[in-house]
Amino acid sequence: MISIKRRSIGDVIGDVIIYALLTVLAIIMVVPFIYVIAASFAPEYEIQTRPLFLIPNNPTVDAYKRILDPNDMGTRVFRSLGISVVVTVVGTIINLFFTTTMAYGLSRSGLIGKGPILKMVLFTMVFGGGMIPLFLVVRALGMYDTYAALILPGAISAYNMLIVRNFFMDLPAGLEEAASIDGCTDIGIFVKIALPLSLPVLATFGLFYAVGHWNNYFGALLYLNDQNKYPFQLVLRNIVMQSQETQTDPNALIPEDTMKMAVIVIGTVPILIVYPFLQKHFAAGVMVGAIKG
Amino acid sequence: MAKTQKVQLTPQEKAVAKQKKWTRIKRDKWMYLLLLPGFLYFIVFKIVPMWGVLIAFKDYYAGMPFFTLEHWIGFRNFTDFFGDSSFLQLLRNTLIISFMNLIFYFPLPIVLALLLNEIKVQWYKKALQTLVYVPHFVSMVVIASISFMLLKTPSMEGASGGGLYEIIKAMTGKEVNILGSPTAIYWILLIQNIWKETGWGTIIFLAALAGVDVEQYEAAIVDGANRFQQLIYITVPAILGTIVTMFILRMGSVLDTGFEQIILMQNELNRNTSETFDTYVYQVGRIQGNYGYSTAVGLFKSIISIICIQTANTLAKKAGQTGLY
Amino acid sequence: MTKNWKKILTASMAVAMLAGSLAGCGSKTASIDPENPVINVMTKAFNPEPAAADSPVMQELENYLGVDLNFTWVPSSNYDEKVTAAMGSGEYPHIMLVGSRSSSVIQNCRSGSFWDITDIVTDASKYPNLAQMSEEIKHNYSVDGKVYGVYRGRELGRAGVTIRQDWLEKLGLSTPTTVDEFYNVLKQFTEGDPDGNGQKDTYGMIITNYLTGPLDNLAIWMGSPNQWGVDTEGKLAPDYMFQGYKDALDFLRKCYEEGLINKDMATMSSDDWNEQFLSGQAGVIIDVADRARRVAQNLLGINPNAKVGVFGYVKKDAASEPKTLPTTGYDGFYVFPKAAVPTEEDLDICLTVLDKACDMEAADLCNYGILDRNYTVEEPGHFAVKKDDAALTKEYADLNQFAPGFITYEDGLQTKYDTDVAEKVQEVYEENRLYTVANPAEPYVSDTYSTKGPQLDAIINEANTKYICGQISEADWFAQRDRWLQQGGQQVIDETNAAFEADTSVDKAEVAEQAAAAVMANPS
Repeated sequence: MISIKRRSIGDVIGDVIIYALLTVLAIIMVVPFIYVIAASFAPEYEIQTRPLFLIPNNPTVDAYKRILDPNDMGTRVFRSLGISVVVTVVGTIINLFFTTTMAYGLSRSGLIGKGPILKMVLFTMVFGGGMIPLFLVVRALGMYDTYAALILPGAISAYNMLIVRNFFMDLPAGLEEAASIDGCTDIGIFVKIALPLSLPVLATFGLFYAVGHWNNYFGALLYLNDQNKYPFQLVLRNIVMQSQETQTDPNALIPEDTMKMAVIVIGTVPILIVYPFLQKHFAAGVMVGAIKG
Repeated sequence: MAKTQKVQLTPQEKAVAKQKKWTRIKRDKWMYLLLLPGFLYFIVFKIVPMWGVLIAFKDYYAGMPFFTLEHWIGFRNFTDFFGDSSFLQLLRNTLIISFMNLIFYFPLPIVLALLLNEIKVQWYKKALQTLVYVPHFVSMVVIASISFMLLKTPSMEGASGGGLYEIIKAMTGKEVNILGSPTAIYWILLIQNIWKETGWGTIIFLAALAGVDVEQYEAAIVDGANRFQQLIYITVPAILGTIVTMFILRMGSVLDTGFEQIILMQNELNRNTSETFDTYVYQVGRIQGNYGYSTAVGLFKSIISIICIQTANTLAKKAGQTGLY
Repeated sequence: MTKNWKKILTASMAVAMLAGSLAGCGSKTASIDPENPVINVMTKAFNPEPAAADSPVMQELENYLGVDLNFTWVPSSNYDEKVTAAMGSGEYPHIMLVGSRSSSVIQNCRSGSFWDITDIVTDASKYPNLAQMSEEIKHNYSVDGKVYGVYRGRELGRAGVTIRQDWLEKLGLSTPTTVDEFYNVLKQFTEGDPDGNGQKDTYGMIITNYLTGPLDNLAIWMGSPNQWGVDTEGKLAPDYMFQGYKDALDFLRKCYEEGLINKDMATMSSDDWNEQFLSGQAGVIIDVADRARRVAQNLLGINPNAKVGVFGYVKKDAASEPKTLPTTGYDGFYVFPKAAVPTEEDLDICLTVLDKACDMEAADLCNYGILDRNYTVEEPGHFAVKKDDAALTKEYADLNQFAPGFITYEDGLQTKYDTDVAEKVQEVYEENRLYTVANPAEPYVSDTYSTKGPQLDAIINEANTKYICGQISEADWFAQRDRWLQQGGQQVIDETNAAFEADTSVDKAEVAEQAAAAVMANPS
């Protein structure tokens, strides 16, 4: 930690301004989400007639009851939640493996063939073959209707990989040289030095990938046939759809707006809960100094 | 990859160079092994499906036998697109929306990350970080409905409008129809985007900041540098590489505006100024099912993107940065 | 640098072409085993948990149909993408619901990917139920006059007006029957203080940025054709070429000027359509009749004294015939891909399944489940009373999405409506059906429209909105209509007429006789 010995008046004023500004910003940022939570506990008519409220007048848990009750949608919702957790965890690990290995490989300056490979990556970032060709590839590899189809086609995001590579290139070169003199192979250096030093980066991109997996419903829609395999977000979308379908059953009116809000809350809260656990790794960068010293 | 001067080499020198090349490849063999899985990934899932771009040159429909001589229409999808009376309008709208984001939105996550970095009370810093990420998870539909709530004009004489509408009216005395204004739509889109993504966008920069060597600050403090000087001489240079990388990558999506947000905010009074390539392709491709045409538009966007990335990369290198490749 | 890029490009394309040509090889499909038929069905799901394969209702249905059903339930929100993937890859079920007539679907019909069943399903001895499919609705989704699927029937007469019944009563008005009376209701709702609070704080009708819905209904009432009409020369022309359409615009313009509709109609989101109705600021919404049920239910929580009414249409004037705007009457249609259904025998098995699924017994199973297990019957009226148990409801969830359901059985199970409004809505449907105006161009697709459609629609929509809001003059509106013609509209008209001419399944003289009206020229 930086020891603060002398604090000038300017520093104090600066602090006050920064704290106040950020606090106001944080409130502006979070109010709409509080509205969503409040609305998920409000009857539909209240959502439709009251602007931006933070506490419902006539609180109700109907939407949550329907979604979470095992007799109603609960079984399917919890099952799909389990599937999404597994897909997200496994998927993120695979993402990080593919991304960091490739990024590290490409971070060596003067690596022969690096230029063309980087260009290929950029090329694919910009040009894409579209949905049908990828579908055919996935099917040809025997991944249709398997969870692999939700994970492997997106194993690397070119964008993320290029930024991770950038982080690796910024690592102090001296460390690697020292290690290589100690007899480590490049893989050894990668595992023993580069990765531990890049924990903030791994946490960051792990989070990006995890959020991507968590929110992805389209892959499941395209590649899965068996409804029992559907992940969380796809089931949640169905719940919203069902509440919109008013025509077929003239007696059952589900509060559409309330369900929508509850679905957003249920879909978001798990990933918000995970975040603080990742957060501590963002500060792990101090290790750079520690190892060097 | 600095450009090397081309010099005539004697055969002997060439042989030496070749041998050198081989020793280098051998030396880096483990690096090649490391990047192999990723390389294969790109070949299988990105390059192989690339034949899909040929759709742009076909009168394509899903299920059409692909490698036949039929249905080739050459550049007709492109000429249709460029010849369309709305092409320039679409280009203009797309560029305005995109560049407003680039100019006003792009720096904000950096600024916010630097501000957050100045918070020394750890629990408060963590709490703030968590709060500013939340908007990223709020769906665009909700954001649009809140925007309508705040900006709506009165439905009848004597009724009141949305909160922001009333504030503007009280301050300027003017009744401004923001939702129906052909130019205000750009600011609405920008502000929604800033609200939703600034906090989330700080993550990468915070990760970069976490990598800054603490010793440097300690040394600077000993030298008597104040907070602002530390920021300018230590912090910013340390994350400049990340900023440049992000900027170059951002240039690759200079014609991407997304469609959901815009379509939610569109109405007959601002459609002319808010229709972009993405919203148009969404309607023609997804709704009408005209894949050849929408792929052609996509291909055009890709070519512009690659030119922009190339330009940005060259400029970055000229400015003394490493660049992307 | 550019050289390098070119290399990457050529190398990439070479790999892609090679791999692509290898992937292009198809596999041969087996016929359905007539002894033990297993039928794969892909259809829309609206429930998070559609009926499972081991649900008792599903098994009962399979017994009745004499086949094993293997469902792929696809969430309705992204159904079309799944169909595109199926068409693009040839990964077909035996029976596939096609949600919308995208150009890919049409091309697949034309190229023979799906069975042409035009002359097969009319055989009443083989398919007694399918033979009853409505000619009008079949025509709506036909391709070049041929029928490629079995449709899922939906309410034709769904349009309707939701109105504050208690306001009408308070003002001493009755439900309007003509356009003039309708105007008077709007006027009184605005100026007659219908909520009785002594303040001028109400207005007549809510219109949102989805202007098309209310406008099309009004236009039909006032004599416009439905989307396309036949002019005096027997040619098709879009509805805005006809006087009735313009009359509807003038009606709305007048209402807007007098404050009978909301001032922010151009910018109000259609998600907020109910808001001011519920808060008691306005009293009329023209949309689908079932909106009344939702509005009534929500209004209950806010103002228990409020009463919601619903009616289907008003007439142009007392002497005119009633006219209503129909839906297309179908929600997707089941096709039979030749890749999965190779022979006519296989097709026969699939058609028989769908034919039997229209039987009263099968329809009751799909809609209500098994008697005494999932529902009981209340007499008199033969009403099905569903058991209020979510676990039992799940057993037949979404099976009604599978059933084609275009036949209603008078002696079958009836639905009992919980509320007056729900019952009223049903009556509106039934009456509307008698007076629908068909769209003669519904099945035709114009190439120009498929690339320029959004842009062309935008011209007219913008002109309509601005004309109603008084931002442009009548001359401007006609000028915009001319611009529509110049920018591709004329091509759309020509292509649509060419398709109309080529469609041998339609008796043109009959169509012309029914709907002939003069197109309205630009007066300037």
